[in-house]
Amino acid sequence: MEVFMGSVKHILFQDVTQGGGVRADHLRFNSGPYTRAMRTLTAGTLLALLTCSVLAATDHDPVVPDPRLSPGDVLTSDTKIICVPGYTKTVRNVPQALKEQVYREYTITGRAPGEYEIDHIISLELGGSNSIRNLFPESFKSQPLNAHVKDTLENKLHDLACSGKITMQEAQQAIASNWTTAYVKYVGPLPGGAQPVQEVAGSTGQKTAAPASGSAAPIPVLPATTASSGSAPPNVDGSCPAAAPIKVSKAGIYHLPQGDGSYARTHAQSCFATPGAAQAAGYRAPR
Amino acid sequence: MNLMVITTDGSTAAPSAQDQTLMQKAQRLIEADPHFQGLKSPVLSRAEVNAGVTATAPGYLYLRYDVPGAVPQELWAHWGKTDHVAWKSGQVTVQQG
Repeated sequence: MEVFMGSVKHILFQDVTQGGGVRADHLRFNSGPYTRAMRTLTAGTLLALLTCSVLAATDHDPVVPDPRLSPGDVLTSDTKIICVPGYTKTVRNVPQALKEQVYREYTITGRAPGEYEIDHIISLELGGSNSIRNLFPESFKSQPLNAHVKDTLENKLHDLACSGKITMQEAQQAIASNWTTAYVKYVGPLPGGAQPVQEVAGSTGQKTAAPASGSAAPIPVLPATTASSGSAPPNVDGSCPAAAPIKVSKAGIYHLPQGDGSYARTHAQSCFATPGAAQAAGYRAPR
Repeated sequence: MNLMVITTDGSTAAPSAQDQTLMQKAQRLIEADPHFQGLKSPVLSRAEVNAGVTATAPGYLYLRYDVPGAVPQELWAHWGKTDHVAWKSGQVTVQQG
């Protein structure tokens, strides 16, 4: 029996209006220390943080789980069990009443059909359990980070762990501690130029650990910078900035501005300065 | 096996006598189930009350049995009108009173 106590990190709430303005009244936080910490924020600090949140399209969607509520939980790490095709079908489904409880804990009181799923932090295909410790509501519709993006990481980690390139425990730890960071490490840049959700403190190993001061506030998704990785976020219209003109498509193919017939119609998911940078991030050229 | 209550803010608390009774009765029902009896050396490794779920609703008491070399079995127990184990869904109903 293993339980991951994920490191303390921010809950990322994507919270902007469609016009890019801020609606602080739509922030939703859970009760307890986290709420108390948020109340200590000055209005100015809050405003400054939220005005950086320019990429999200929907309100108050938790992108990463609250480690107090959902630190992640493992059912098994045995690859002889997990890597057998059809394994996930042998694991039972989460009861609906339990799913509803997870929504309540995350203060999601109303939702449209297909808007959210109750997701396993450590996915079933990575040996995650059905304990409430391993469940959190994840939006399908938030942008740029959502359940579909996390699915890509889950599939990648499953392949890596089941092919022996990493251990199953490494895969489980990576996705439980911060899936957005794990995505960058194992898949490549996050879509839409998003940056991983930043952690606020080192791992405490305590499920109840939470930010304790106003400085430990949620950090919104910010546009990536080009300095270190050669990548940049795409423009709103799907084009790329001049400093990083190479477009990466949804299919993970990069397109050069010259000599590539698909370039003009490609709606960039991310942008790179050089083909080498795109390749290093795991993308390929057209065949 | 220590029974633990997971409260709605993620912290843990001590179980009530009623919860202890539910766990014990659920264990007995599970152990009498023919599917369970077909498992090799199952051991109860986790018992958690989900405090935010009604005690009569599926999902209230999470039980996990480790089975060496096989998929661990996750079941959920709750109070109801009659004793019943639904093996496929993992729902265990324990007769109240």
